[in-house]
Amino acid sequence: MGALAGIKVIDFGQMVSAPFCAKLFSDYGADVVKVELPEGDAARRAGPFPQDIPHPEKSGLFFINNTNKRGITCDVSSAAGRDLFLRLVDWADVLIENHRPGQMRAWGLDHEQLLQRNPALVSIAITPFGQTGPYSAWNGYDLNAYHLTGASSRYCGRPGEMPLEHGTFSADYFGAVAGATWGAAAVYGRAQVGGGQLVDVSCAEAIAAAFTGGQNIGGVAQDGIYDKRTGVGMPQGAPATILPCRDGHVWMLTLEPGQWKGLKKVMGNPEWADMELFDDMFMRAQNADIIYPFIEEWCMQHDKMEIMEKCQAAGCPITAVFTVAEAAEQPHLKARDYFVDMEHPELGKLKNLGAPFKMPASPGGPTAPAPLLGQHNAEVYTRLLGVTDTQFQQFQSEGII
Amino acid sequence: MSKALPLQGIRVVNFGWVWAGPVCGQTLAFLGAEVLKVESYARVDMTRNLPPFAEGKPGPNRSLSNNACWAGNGSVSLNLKEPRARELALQLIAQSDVVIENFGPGVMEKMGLGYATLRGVKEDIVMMSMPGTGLYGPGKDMRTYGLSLTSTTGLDSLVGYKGEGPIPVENAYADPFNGIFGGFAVVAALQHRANTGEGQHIDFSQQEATMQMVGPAYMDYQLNGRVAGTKGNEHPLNGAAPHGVFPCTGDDRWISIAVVTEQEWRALVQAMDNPEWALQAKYATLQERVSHIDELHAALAEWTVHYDDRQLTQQLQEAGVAAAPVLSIGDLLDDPHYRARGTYIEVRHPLDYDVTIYGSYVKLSRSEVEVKPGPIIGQDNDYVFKELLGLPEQAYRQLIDDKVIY
Repeated sequence: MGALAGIKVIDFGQMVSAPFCAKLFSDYGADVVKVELPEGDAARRAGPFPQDIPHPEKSGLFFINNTNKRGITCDVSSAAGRDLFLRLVDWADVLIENHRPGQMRAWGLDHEQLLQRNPALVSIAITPFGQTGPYSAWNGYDLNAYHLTGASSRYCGRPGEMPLEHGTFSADYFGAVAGATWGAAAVYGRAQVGGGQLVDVSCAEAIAAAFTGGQNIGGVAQDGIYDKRTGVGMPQGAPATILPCRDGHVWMLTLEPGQWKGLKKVMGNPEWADMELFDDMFMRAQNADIIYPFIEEWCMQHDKMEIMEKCQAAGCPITAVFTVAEAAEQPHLKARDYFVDMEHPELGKLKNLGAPFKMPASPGGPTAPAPLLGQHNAEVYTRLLGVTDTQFQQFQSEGII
Repeated sequence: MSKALPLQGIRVVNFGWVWAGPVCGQTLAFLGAEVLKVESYARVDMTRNLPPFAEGKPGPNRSLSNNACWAGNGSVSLNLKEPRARELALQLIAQSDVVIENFGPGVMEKMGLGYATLRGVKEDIVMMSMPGTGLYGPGKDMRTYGLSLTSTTGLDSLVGYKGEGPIPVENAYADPFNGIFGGFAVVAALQHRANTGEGQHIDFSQQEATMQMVGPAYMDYQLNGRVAGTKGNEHPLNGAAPHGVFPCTGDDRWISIAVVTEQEWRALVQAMDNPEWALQAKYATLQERVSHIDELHAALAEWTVHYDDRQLTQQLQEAGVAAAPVLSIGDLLDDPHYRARGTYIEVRHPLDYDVTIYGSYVKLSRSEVEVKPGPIIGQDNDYVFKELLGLPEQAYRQLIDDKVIY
């Protein structure tokens, strides 16, 4: 039995943030019904698709973020559709959504109303900017949220060149995780606090607080001083950055004296490494212009896995920069069953990322593939909500379901 | 709004150090748990000595970043090299619900605080272990820092200027991500305990939790055998164009613009006053725009560079385009949105200085979250040892003199 068994969840989200948040509930045992508009979650149109041929049932993004959920369709912009949605709200413990606040209001589904209707509901809203504040009405996506946090300006890119995000939906994932944690706690403590509540997550705010804020805001407020990106992993110490090697890149990180000694040994104790100006991590950082070319020259003669294995054995926290393929084929992760085999009616047999953490007494992780569009309409509407067969057929013919 | 918080009544003993473990405790504390970090003057956590310091005066209780990153945690000082300290820790755990740690695998066992021992004093204890690469497996002893852990997930290989090698992210995004994520694991385990009466030992591999963020690229590898690389700020799945940050007037000022729908594209073109270049057939559909994205981005940059980032954001938002300023660290504190949401708060530290930290970054409509700055080492000793464990005054003093409580 999953840890969250017995918790009933509506996933009314699309793309990454709300669906991934709801997937954390479903993969750990909650009963999650995903509600899609008739055209389907935008992730169905986002890919990646096999051979890049778009197909609403073959999106990799939809597949990975919607495991273990039942799926229904509902046109909430129609009166009958809205009514069906509200009946589902009566059933649910949790609603997870990521629409713009104005959109929820336009549908007549704003959180105040939903909480009035079901006072025990925990309503998790995950949006780029949140439900309140001057930017709450803004149009925005993951990209806009991430770059509003100082994270790119401070921590990623070369000085003077454009600041960078991670190459994935990092703000969406951060917000999803914050929503899952706070939302799950709100469900757990519902009796204690006297009912359900709105859990308002702004992806931008979560990062601007817990990542960039935590590290920087005290200093900014007190001294008015702050830093910007340097393009170097950690300018205060050296070596501490990504360097190229013969077949790719390594994260070259050697700070403590024992680590530096270990790296020197792996490099064959070259003469240059014993120069006084490389004595400690701070001096090495001051002489970064001199030391990095030396180390890079050595790296370029070796492969990343070899560097990683030898340096790790010598006590250095040096790792290869794995490509996605290398990360996906790691023996360590295979031995931990992090990759799981799944079968999907349209995609066939394929591998998936497994549970993000292991709970021996209540195992989690994906077992059932993401639902086809409207796959569980009959089951959810007739059995769960008690819609009669005649009504059901009528809703279908009217395009509400 | 009320003071009632969802995790009130839950007691957490937090052996977490540096960043991820303390944030895991913080998350539970914000939600109402009583969180007691166990630490010692015998080995002060490095993050307690990170500058800048309050009023510029160095000291392990004065690091401004530590005050923020550890906010919510209480502190009990125990020198765990002393057998009596371990006994006291176990007595505290016997009265607790959750234990958190983020050491390497086996370290808690070596300290005599492994799961089997903890279960012996509290059968339904939830033990949350969050090592870098998990508790077992051939790579369990891999040495990594939060800064570089991401390199083993594929995430770092996706960060960089288009077609170039990877650019390092200069701080450990994975640490607060996993700290908060770890909070979810703990709450799930508490829920399981409520359902069944069982505790358990969670194996939270930070590598595996972080790798969830690589999901979209992982699927492209599974479905097409394609290995994604760096692509600047372009959309991870080519689902938007333009999709990037573009220069504005002033030093290092940029605006982020993302165009997903045709409606947004038409709005952008109109906001630019329908320039010839934007009306060309090669930009007519998303697919076309993605195929010509380098040219598209270059042309758009030539337009944005004449505008102030905030004014242009306003103008584009009014037109319905997803745009936002790219904020520097210096912009955060006075940003009107973060001001309005109370993202940052000034609090009085028990050592009589004011410090700005982050507040409740998620807003709950019913529960009022109270945020206190990160703890002074041992600030909760009296409460824990005298009230909870019932040590007589004399024995307590003796343990302090013997540097067991230290």
